[in-house]
Amino acid sequence: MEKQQKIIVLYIDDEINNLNSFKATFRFDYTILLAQNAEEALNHLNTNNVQIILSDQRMPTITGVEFFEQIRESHPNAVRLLITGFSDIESVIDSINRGHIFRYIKKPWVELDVKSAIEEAYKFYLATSLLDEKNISLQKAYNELNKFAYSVAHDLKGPLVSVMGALTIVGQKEDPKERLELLDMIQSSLQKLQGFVDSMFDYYRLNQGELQIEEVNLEHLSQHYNDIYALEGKVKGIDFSIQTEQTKPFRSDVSKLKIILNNLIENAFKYQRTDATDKFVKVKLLITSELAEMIVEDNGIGIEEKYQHSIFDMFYRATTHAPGSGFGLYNAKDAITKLEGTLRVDSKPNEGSLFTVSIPTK
Amino acid sequence: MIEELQKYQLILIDDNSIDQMLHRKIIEIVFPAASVKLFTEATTALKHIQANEDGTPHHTVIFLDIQMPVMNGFQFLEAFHLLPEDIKKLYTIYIVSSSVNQFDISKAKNNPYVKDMIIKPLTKETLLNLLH
Repeated sequence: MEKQQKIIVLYIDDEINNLNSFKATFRFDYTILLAQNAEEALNHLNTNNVQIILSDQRMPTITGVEFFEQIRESHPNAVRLLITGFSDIESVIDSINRGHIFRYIKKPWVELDVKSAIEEAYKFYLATSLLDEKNISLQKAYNELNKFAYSVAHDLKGPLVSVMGALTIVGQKEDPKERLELLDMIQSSLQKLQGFVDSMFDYYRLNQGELQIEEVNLEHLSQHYNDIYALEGKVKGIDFSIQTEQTKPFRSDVSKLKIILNNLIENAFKYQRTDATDKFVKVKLLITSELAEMIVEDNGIGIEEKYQHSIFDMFYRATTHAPGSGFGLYNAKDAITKLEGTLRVDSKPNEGSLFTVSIPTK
Repeated sequence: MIEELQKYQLILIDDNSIDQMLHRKIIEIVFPAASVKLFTEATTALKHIQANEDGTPHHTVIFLDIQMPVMNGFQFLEAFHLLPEDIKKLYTIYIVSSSVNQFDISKAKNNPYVKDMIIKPLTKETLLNLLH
């Protein structure tokens, strides 16, 4: 984007004739700003995104080197070029060595020298501003990593602390029934821990390596989920059904499709209404065009509209209805993004939720 | 002293139902006669307190978790602040959390309604210490 725009060059010289001839020569190639003294120059620097500054060395109130030293801290990104006659060379070399000046241009200047100096300086400008951008994004990633490490440690510690607490109490209780109850708590805490660690692995795998594209067989996929959830549905009194229709071949990364489906189906089971008698989870996998559609529907507690945009955020939880890490839908969304798919949520509190995922074939 | 403690009423607010049950069991061991109410959502606990359903002059201790969905511990404290004085003075609040985040800890300790912060797990010793 920046390449198509003209380079913004500020030229400082106390002699108005020099300024005018500079502008006349270069106004077609660059956006030229002119200044006769330091004050005017500063004004330009503060109001424009100046990329390159050329300054004459010999000026009545301030030398070019002095001016550059003055603005080096406040405008570090603009690349500084000095224009000077041979007699000043000694004083300038030192300044160049100290890094204040990118290059000097001999006076009187010739068009070609100035042009090549500006082009070089602009390359340097682009490289350093790119580096700045990289540094900012690295710092951001580093801060996020810190936050991530804390949240993960916190979520791992929670169930561990519960287990330790329960173990302490087991030793103090005689009643076998109460002891069994405590062992159940230990088990559910450990299951929670395992679920969290599994999500961490999903997270790792999602950010690891290339997609593994293969021919997707919907029958296999549907069998896989039927094996897991038909029984769980019976135990929990939830009617589980999975329906498939495939008229076109479909290529995708099966492990990522599974991360999406696992999380959506698991949530559909988790967020049921406790008092409902007709609980269901319906899954549809349809490939009748270039897009695969995966639909997971339940008639559970639903999601309030104000939470619907946040449920895919890492560690976000919208309800205390069932335990969760706030990691599952984040991973599902991430997998959908990696497969270049889209996701729609339709949900009403106390009526249920419908997640529709569309994934293009590879 | 002990008899007085037995009269304690406690409210536990924690979204983790396992921790809730564990805390109740420890409390039963230390104060067998205390009455304990459990809430997994801070909003429901707040409604309960607001309605003053217990209608009793008894002093009540609240054990409040920080990280909870819907309404977290700090949001609960903000809402608690808006309750009438004669309700507020009936409650003493302890934060019970597994958070070791310095920011959370100092924020909790600086809150005028928070008596102290307890790092999970809640133990017999911590409970006994509270009463001194």
